[in-house]
Amino acid sequence: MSSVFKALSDPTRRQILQLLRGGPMSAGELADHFRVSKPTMSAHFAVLRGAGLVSSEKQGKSVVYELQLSVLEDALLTFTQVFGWELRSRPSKVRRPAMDTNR
Amino acid sequence: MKRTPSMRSVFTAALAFLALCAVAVGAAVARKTGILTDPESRRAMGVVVGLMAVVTGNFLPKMRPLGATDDRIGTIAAAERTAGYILLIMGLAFAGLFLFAPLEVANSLSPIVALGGIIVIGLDWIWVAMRRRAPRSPSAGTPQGPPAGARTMATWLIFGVAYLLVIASLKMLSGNSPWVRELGTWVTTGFTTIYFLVIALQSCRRAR
Repeated sequence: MSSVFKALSDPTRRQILQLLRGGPMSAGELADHFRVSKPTMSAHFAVLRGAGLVSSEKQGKSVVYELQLSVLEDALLTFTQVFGWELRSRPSKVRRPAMDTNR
Repeated sequence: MKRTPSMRSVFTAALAFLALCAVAVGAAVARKTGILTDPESRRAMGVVVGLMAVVTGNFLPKMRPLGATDDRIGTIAAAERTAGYILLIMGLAFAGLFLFAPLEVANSLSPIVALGGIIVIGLDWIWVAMRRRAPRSPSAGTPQGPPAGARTMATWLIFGVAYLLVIASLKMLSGNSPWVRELGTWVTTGFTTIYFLVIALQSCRRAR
């Protein structure tokens, strides 16, 4: 469950989940919505996959992501979106996947 | 076999379902042996059935029972999500009634809650199925959906919960009349027959 909280604590990852609510999207399509580097996006995808919030499938040259939220995870996502909840920890203790360039 | 989130969810839901079945059997044995009184065991059964609906409802969107792979995947996923919310809220209400309300109130209100929820889910899914376009071959942007084994388990799990809720509700409404037991047998036979016919038809279509 802690991996779910960690995944939902980042606004970029929450935005990815919101985009996926409309249906599956490829990694490229998702990346077009953000001004972050590809390695950063890959790290975000890895966190979401690790928490079991999305599933990925390789199709040809692209990877297609699909939403995999349970009802409680969906409610938690809505809650965090409404209240803008973010992970507040000391930077030295948090293992961030990569630095966002737009923040 | 690759363990996808949908497969993990089906296994978790199935395990929780079996654990709750064990609790229900335990409550029945406790009533027979006189450890629990009849009203207490009825309350326990009501809570267990409600919790089964909560667990199945929570994991339903992850299990992808409708398993869409066509271009309406977003709409179908939304219908699965709505069904999950309805089942979870309905299960909480069902369990809550048997936990806190007087038994007479729980017996008269819980069937309305359960049947109401199942009818709404059924109508929503029928509406989505009627609007569903002909499936096309999967291409970029349309994942293959959950594995067949996971879908089979998910289908049986959802049928099991719906069956329990409907039969329990009808029993409470009819005062445990024998026709409900007969109906239960027919529903199970009908579902099994239709399910295997659909599987056979799909296999024939794929073989062509």
